[in-house]
Amino acid sequence: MEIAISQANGRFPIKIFHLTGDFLDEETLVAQAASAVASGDRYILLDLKKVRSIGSAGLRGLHRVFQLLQEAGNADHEAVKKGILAGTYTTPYLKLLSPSKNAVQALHLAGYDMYLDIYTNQKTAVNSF
Amino acid sequence: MEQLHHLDQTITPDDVDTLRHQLEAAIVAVGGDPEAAADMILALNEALVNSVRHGYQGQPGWLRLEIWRDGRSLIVKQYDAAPPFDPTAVPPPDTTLPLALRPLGGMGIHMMRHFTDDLHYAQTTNGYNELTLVKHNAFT
Repeated sequence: MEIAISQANGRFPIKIFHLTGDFLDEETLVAQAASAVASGDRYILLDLKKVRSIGSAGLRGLHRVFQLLQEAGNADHEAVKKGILAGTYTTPYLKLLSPSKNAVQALHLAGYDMYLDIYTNQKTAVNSF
Repeated sequence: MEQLHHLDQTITPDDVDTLRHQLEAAIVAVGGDPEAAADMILALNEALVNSVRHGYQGQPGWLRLEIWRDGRSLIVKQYDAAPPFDPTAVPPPDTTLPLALRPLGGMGIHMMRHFTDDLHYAQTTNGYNELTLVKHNAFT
């Protein structure tokens, strides 16, 4: 899998990771995300439109990036806890753009779609952060 | 049943990508539905990764793969000589737990089950793991 990175500005600066290929490994994504977080980035949009499928290692990579950003962000822990209990919490730090049908299937199978907002338009996605 | 393809080789984690592409091309070349082939390959990828990473602990190990057609069904049999492991006996993960509270991983076998129609495990008489993955309606 390859990752190209661009930047967009909504209310905050957003790093957009454009993924290409089958998302079947975790290290490439986690390394890039860790590097972005170390540089001060706190919001990442994963553009999945060129990803055909997501495997378990890809899901684990998403989970690790979710954790990285949660730890780096200034999440209101009480609000997070309340949102989780109410089933309404989605992370403000990591969002997904245009996953394929197969990728949506994997995200749904893992239950990740409950915690990660999914958009089909980049501008709308950027403005949602 | 008609055997479409088979291979016997020593496998390492670095071989999984090549093997996956080779097997998908082999299935599509014999008229397999591309969507069914993609599902099967995703499931098989998880099986291969389990075998090389967990079964053989990243060390080179023997692998045999057979691709069969039975009517409209696509059947892949994977054999390895790693310690016995029955993935069908692993309980499904709790996907209702919030992501923030979940342990990492544990989705591979769940995906294998989801992307195939049948998944069987057996041990051969000589002690090898035999995993059978079945996808129905994979041929028109």
